[in-house]
Amino acid sequence: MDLEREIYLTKEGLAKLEKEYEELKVLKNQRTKNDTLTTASSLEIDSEYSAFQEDLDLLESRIAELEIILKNYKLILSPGKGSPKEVLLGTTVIVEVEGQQDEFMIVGSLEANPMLGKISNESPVGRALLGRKIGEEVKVQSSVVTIYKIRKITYNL
Amino acid sequence: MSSTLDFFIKLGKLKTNRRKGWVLYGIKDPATTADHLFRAAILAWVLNSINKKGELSDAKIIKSILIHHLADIYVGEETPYDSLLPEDITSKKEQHTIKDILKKLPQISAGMEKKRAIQRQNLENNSFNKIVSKLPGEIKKELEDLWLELGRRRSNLSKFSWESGKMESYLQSLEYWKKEGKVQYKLWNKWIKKNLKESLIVEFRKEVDKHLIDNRKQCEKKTMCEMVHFLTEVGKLQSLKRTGWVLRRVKNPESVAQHTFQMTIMSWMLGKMKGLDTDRVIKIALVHDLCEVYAGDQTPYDPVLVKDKEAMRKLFEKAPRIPQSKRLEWLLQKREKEWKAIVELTSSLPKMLQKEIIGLWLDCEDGLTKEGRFVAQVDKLVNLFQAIEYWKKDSDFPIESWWVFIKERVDDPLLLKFTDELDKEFAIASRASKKFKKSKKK
Repeated sequence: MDLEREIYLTKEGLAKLEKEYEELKVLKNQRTKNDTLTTASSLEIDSEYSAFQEDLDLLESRIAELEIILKNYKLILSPGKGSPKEVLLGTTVIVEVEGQQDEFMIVGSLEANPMLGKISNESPVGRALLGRKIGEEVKVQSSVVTIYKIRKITYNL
Repeated sequence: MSSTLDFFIKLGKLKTNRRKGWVLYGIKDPATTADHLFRAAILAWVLNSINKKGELSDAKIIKSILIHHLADIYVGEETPYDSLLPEDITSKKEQHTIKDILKKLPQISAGMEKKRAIQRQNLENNSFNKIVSKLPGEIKKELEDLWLELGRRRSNLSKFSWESGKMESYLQSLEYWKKEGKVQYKLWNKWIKKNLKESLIVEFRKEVDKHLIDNRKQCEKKTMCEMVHFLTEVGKLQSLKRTGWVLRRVKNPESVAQHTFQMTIMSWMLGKMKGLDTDRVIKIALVHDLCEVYAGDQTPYDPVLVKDKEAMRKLFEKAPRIPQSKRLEWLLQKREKEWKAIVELTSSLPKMLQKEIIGLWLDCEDGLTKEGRFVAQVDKLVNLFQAIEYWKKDSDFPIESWWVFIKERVDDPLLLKFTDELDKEFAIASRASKKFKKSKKK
């Protein structure tokens, strides 16, 4: 995702990034105050932050990136009471595609994780679904045309 | 963009080009040029991490190695035996002659050797220029600069890169000797001793000998000994065929190493077009599938695989739609398995290097930097790219699901532009294929 574009975050995504930002700042303080803490032998492999433990430049650039995100993000807001009438950012869409059922949540690029059913609003499918209503058939064009029939739209945030 | 696409298609040749030396020895399923370059790049990077002589850039070494066989796309690979070999090396009648030739090191006069080297260099230069001629300016310049430096073999970096390539070939020769016994390992040992000058690589060669020839389990130099173990494990990715293609019954499917080779170069070129830190990009791409040494190659179809052949064929016609809870459970298991695998694989490397590799791997998995997020999307694109290549060879190959996947999974504007370019190429090939099928029916 290019940070020059709009940064959309769900409440959950925002909380996660804020937590990461605070924890990375603590890690950076530890690194600069007591560099011996981070010598090779003293570090445990920690799946969450091991990417930043050895590389101070990377740690600083991630903190800088998080600062840009936290300064410029737009929160994905609830569309109000009742079921949403159309597909919006943050809505979950149940679709029928190639005779099978699937469920997508439309999120900003930073939170997209298609394997978890979180589709980016900037992906061709995300773009095509946005603004469409229940019952509509959405065509995603390429040499292979795929049709997504919108069965249900909910807002679970 | 179309010239870049054309370059990537040509690059595919290095994934199928079996290394001539191994073919001559009659090795079963021998490594391709791409397999070799993948492990040579990792070997050089790992050794450079303990290189006290000068400060060579890991990324520049990796890039040099990745491109140093580019010319082979047009002129094929050469071996020191070429001038002695019969014209048709595949002929059954000639196999006895070839065996005899391979029993000793090629005896060629110094004058002849020099003449041959100059001729080869000219051939390679022409081929290289032809391959890169239409690439975008900045990419072309970077490749030309690297190529020139490699060709001169004067800088420490070019010498280190060349010798790392040779060292990988030597390591491979010993592995084949141990596995199939067809390789004259004593000749290879003589050859490598003659060709290595870099002290660090010479030291490494000695450890390789102790480990693979003398069968020593305990090593004197622990770090290097562990590196030999790491690199032999990484070498398994050269014969690990990618599951997605195996399940779709592709003939001679690519290995994980071949996929990684192509993906690393594609990520580098496309990353450069996007203005990313390509030094980081290539390292992320190079390590992104290392965990598969122990975790295997898993596919999104895994939770719904069946044994029945016909049902399997039908399954691959569509993208897998798996209930969220089942998908989540599978993803968590996959992540745990891969995490354990990458930690175990790198556990014996120097700690700083281990942390770097794990950090880069995590970046691709979790999208910690713009480079990591980009490489993860290139991975998806490379799969579509490869699927199209297989579909071109066999129009019954189930291609549709790849298109569906890509439109849901990629959102980077540059990669979407590249997808459009692939789409055009696919549409042309698709029309041609339909016409061909029609004419066949008539």
